[in-house]
Amino acid sequence: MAPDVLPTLLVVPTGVGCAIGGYAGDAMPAARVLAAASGCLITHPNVMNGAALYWSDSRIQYVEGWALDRFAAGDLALRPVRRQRLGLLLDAGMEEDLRLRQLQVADGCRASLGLDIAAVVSSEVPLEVCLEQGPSGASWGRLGHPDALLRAGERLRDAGATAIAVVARFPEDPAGEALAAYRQGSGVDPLAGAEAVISHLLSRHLRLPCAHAPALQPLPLQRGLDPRAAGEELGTTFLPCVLVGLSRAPDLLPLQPDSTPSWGDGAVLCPESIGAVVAPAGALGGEAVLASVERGVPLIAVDNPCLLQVTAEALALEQDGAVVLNASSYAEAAGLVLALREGLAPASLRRPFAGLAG
Amino acid sequence: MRSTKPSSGRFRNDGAAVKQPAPPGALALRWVALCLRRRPGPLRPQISAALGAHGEPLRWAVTAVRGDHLCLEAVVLIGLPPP
Repeated sequence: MAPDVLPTLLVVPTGVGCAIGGYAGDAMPAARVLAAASGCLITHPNVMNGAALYWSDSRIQYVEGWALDRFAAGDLALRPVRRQRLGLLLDAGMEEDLRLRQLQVADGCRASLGLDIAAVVSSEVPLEVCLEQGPSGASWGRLGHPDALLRAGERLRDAGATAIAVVARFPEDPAGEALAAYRQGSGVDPLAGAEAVISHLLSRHLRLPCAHAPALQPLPLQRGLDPRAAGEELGTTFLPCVLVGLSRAPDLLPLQPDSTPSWGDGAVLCPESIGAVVAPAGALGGEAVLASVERGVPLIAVDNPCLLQVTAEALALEQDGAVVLNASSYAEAAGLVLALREGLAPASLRRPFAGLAG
Repeated sequence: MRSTKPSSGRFRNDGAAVKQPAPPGALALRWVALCLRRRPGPLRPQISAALGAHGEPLRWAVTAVRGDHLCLEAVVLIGLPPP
C-alpha cells in the first residue's frame, strides 16, 4: 500500500432507507469521490451494486459486510488481487427462465468483460428466503435451509472458486405498496436485510469474498421511476454488478491475536492502516463503525437521512474518546478525508477557530 | 435493491426480547430483538455478550437508543458447523 494513501471505510447500512445508498447502487458517486480523496476505499456491496450498473476502480476494495466487520474489528486483513475465480451459486427454488437469465448474464460477463467463472452449482433444495421487518422498520430476513447454502458454497470452493456470487429466489410482490414506494423513491428496501444475511452467512463459513443478487421476475414499465431505483430496471437480473465487484474483491486473510502474519510478499491492507470511517450520521450502531471507533479511527458522520437516529451523541461516542467529524454531504466528507490524508487538522478548515487555552 | 413486501415477521416493539422460533435441524437462523442497559466502556463486548445468550451473532445493529438503553436487532446462528 502506497504510504500516501489513507485507507478509508465507507459504510452505508443496508435496509434502513438511506437517502443516499438505500436504492440501486446510488452511493456509487459518493464512493468514487471518497476513493479519489483517500486513494484507497474499502466498502461493501450495498454501496457498489446497481444491478446492471457498476463501477470498477482499482482504488476501491469490494468487501462483503461480514468481512468488512471482521476487518474493522482487526480479525482479518485484505489482500488486493488482479482477479478472482468466480463461482456462481443458484437457488434450486428458481424457475427455469430465471435460471437461464442468470446463466446468460454470467456468460455475457465472461465473453464481454473477460471474467473468470470457474463453476456453477445449484443448491440441493430451495433456499426458501423469507423477508422480515424489525421494530425499527429495518429490513431483515432468513433462510429456510441455510445448510443447503453452505453445502453448495463448499462445492464451489472445492471446484476452485475463490469468490462466490449467490442468486437466491426472492418473494414477489409486484402490486405491493412497498414496491410502489421504492420505485418512487421512498421507504425502506425490504429485500436488503435478507440479502445481507445470506452473504454474511456464506462469507463467515467459507472465508471467501461473497455477494448476493436476488432473482425476481422483471417488472412492467413505469413512468416517473425514481432515478435512484432505475439501475434495477435496465435488465432482467441483478447479477452483473455482483460478478464485476467480486472479480477483483480482495482475499480475506485471517489474523490471529498475538501472532505475526506470514502471507508473503505483496501489498496487504491491515486493520491498523485504516485512517477514517465514513457512515451516515444516524446509523452509527453497526459493528464496523463501532469497532473502528473503539480502535481509535476518526469517524466522519455524514448527513444522509435514514429511518434510524443512532447518532454519535446518542451513543455518547465522543464522551468515550472517539474523534467525530461531522459532514453535511459526501463531498464535504471527501474534503475531510483529503485533509486527514494530507495531515491537516480538520478543525483548521472551519470557523470560528478557537485559540489555545492557558 | 428492489423492494417487495415482507413475507413474514411482524414483531413486538415493547422493548422485550423477541425471538423467532428456530426450525428443527442442525443449523438455523434466528431473528432477535432486545434492549440492554449500557455500562461504561466499549459497546461491542456488551452487545456481543447480550446477543451471545441467543446464539452466535451473524449480523446486528443498534437501531435505537433510549437513555442508557440500547435497542438491538440481530440475526444469530444456532447449531452452526465450524468454518
